[in-house]
Amino acid sequence: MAENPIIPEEFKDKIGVEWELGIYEIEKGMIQRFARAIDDPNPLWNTMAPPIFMVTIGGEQFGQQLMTMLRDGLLHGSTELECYQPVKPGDKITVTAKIASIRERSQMAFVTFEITYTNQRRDLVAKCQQTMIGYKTEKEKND
Amino acid sequence: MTEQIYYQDVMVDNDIPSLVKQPTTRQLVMWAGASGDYFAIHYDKDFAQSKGLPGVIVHGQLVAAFLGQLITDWIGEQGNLRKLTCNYKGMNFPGETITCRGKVTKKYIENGEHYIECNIWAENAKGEKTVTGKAILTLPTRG
Repeated sequence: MAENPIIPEEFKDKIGVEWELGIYEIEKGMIQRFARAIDDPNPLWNTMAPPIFMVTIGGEQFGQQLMTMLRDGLLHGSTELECYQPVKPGDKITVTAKIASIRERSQMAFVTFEITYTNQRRDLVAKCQQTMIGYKTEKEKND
Repeated sequence: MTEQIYYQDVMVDNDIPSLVKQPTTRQLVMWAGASGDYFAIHYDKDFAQSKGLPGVIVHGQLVAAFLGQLITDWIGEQGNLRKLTCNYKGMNFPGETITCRGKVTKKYIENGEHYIECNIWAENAKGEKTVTGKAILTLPTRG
């Protein structure tokens, strides 16, 4: 039987190894686009970012990397976000990620990432644990 | 703007004022742009079905952002959301009504700060909890 793992072996060797997703300058327009997308008219977001905005910083790069890791079925399992400081337009946020754990169960893999957000003063502004679920789709199971 | 709520105003078992959302496919596209989550299960029905899903599904993190708004609407300008946990238990579909709710579970003072803990969740029109989680926040005090 051909082995077709949900998560390629190479990623299991990377548990605990941190990499930089990127450095992102926060612009007012990014925050406004976020607030419009969720339909949140709170005037506070004219001067600072809503807490959940954090998960979108580096989100596109994270998503792209995720799809090289879990190539078949992919669902979001959980999000655990801790915020230590507000983020404002002009801040430069460095986002780093690491795989905290990988758990495999029958036809599924639970991969937990730990993502940290640090500002230009090197203050840790937020931390987020994202658990993603990789699964085999029916089509592949029958192959 | 709503009036500022204070630590003294909040009692265990209090309900948080609910927030109703009805994300359309248009809102999903806006969220994809704002968050960088371009995974096709959120806009391409055929792709979603090839992954074993009934159709296009709402991004879990969009619902997490709604739950964030539930809290930030409630705690006002002087409240701070410190931690938000979301477990994506079920799927939401575009066009469905999603009601975000919360209940206070705990209040305490730690290091001079006034903490409130709540259970939060999003439910669909059938009353099924599709996202469940927890929020930890701090509030100002009166006087």
